[in-house]
Amino acid sequence: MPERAEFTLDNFRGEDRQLDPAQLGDGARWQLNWEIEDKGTALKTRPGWGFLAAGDRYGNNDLPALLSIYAKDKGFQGILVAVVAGHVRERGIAIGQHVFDDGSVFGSALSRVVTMYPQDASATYWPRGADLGTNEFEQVDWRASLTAAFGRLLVFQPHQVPVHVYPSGTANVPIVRTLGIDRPVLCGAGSFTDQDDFQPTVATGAAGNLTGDYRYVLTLKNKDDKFPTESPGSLPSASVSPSSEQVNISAANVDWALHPSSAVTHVGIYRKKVNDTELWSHYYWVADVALATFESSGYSDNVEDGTVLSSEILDEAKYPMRGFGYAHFHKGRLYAGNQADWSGLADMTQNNYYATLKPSAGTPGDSRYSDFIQEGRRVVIAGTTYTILKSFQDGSGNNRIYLADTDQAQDVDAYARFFYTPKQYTGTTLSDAAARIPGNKRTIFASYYGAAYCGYRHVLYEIVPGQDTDGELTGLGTMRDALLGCYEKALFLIHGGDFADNAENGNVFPDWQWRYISNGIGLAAPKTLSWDADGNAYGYGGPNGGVWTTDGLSIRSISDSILERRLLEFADQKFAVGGFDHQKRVYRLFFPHSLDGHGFAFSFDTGDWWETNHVAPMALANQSPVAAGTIPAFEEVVEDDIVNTWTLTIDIEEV
Amino acid sequence: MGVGGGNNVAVTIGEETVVYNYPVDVPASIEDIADETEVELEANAAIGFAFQTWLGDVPAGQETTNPLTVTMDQARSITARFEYLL
Repeated sequence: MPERAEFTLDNFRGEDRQLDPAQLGDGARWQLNWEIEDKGTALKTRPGWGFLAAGDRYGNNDLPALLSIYAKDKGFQGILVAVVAGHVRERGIAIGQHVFDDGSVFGSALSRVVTMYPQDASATYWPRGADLGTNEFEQVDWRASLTAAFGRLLVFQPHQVPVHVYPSGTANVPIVRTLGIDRPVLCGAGSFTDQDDFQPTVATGAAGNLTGDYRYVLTLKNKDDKFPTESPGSLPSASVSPSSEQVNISAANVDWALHPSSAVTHVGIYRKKVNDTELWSHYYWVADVALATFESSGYSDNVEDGTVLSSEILDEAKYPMRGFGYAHFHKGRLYAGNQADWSGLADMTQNNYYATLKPSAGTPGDSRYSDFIQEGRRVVIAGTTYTILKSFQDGSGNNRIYLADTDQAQDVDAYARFFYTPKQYTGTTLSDAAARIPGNKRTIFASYYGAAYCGYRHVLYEIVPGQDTDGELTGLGTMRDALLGCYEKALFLIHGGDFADNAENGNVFPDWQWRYISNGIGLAAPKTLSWDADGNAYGYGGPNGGVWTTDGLSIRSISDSILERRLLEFADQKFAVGGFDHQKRVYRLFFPHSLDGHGFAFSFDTGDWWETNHVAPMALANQSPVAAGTIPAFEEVVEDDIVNTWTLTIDIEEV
Repeated sequence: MGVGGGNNVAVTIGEETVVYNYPVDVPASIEDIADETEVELEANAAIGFAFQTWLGDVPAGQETTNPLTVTMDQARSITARFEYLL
């Protein structure tokens, strides 16, 4: 049985008796996961995610936040459970062994539990969740926390893991995606009506001091509290161009902050330097306006440029975060897409927040020249708006980028709307797509959910006899001039063949060749498929398959037995997400949940550890409510009890 | 309360419930349950039967509690005994 230490967030953040990585020696790494237990009266939540903090001996904290939570003073009265895992690579301690905060080693165990009561929390961690208003909900899935705050409901979710929300009955629920968070997945018979983001609206006003181009962001502040706090920045405003005028600023969806319990007192107004078209450069403080005043009257900015440039700069850590699920560099531009259910591509190149994919050299609406990105989520081609499922590049080094829609895939560089796409299979949902160029003829492959009549998928069906072809492809990608196909328990490589004709003609050439890379281990979690710079693929094959990498010839496990034992805990493995970190050359894998309510993230080193086939949970740095470089502290660590598992045998007898 | 035809035991771990029907599904072993996980067992009697008792690794004093919640702090083997009424 775990003993549980109680302490306040104040203590946790600043007092002694902390887990000091210095005690672990050089190379030590650790991580700390928080969860919320449903013990409070104000916290209406199911067990779910808190935040993950991690670091190493050197205080590095650089993993994108998995979740930030609101922990305002008396804002909630739940219990946070911290699961701490420390790991030491040096000091003669074997890989896989772990340590307590006093430096003692405890075998191969990973975790231990502490508990704190944050009723005295002194910091405001602003929510990264969706504001669900005061509506009633029947259910929120296990990856989310539904919390009453400000007299309203907020659903919190880890990044890149969409959560499912079930409105009560057929209710239509206005939903505000606060501060850049992603939209929950709607389930049940209800509906969502998207409200505007928390984003400033700007317009030129009365005669004044400003001339040039400006953008603004807003923050919410509590200036009266013992510990004044400030939220992350809003989405940036559109550019506004006053000419010896003032700029009038207002914002929708700040009314919820008026609730007395919100403790929001002011709106912070920041703006860019005049004529600075770089979207993510500095924002300078302009003014703090009382919330009620801002709500009713907005604010008219007439502060001269020289004054603004000498004022405070909005902390970059407070810049709005985007929940991009993927990104591609393409011809000097970064295209980043949001999550699957609210997906799309945005050209995030500087100066092009809502940018066109191509230079505007044609008639708007012409699919050859004018592929417009709208609001970073959808693309308009020839006047039709498409929701983007995925972007991908071909496998032949031609550096073309494709967008997969719900019913077709398109080459954004060419007149590709009807180019080798299975467009006629409308009404189905495209689950994946990839491109290859045999003989310099573009072919886009697509797989569908439950669409056995899709020609391209049928090709895959035919060439993988004996496999679980009734199941769906869990992954599809290009591997040099071949195609990597993934089932849950098999990997195969497709090569040869000529291009497939426009599928509308029904001519799919069947001369493909294929061979197994693996017959038994496949891709169990679709979102874990990723590539390194050398073209090797990585993925997660489930508890029995572990984490693998393949060069197209063979498959190699990069997870060891200790880790695989841990992987058994993750019940809903298909929701794991993974990706290759090209900067650090590690493959990162994140499990949002496990049977006992915990979630973990791992990274897999492709350096020396890889050579020795040792892979263990490494430190995952964070962008958590704990400031970078700050070492979270806790008072007491007790026994490990997370790793042990037991068997329950059930029988029935009749007498 | 019977569910379907024969006697059965519904086992709930977290969000998931699995029903083990007599005699086709038992004995059954559920492996790799995390330490300290609470598991709920509900014995559902078929028509003509009544749940009598739990046997095996059952917390003291809870032999006739139905549904029964056990904490998996050890390996457990639990048998649901149903008595024939007619």
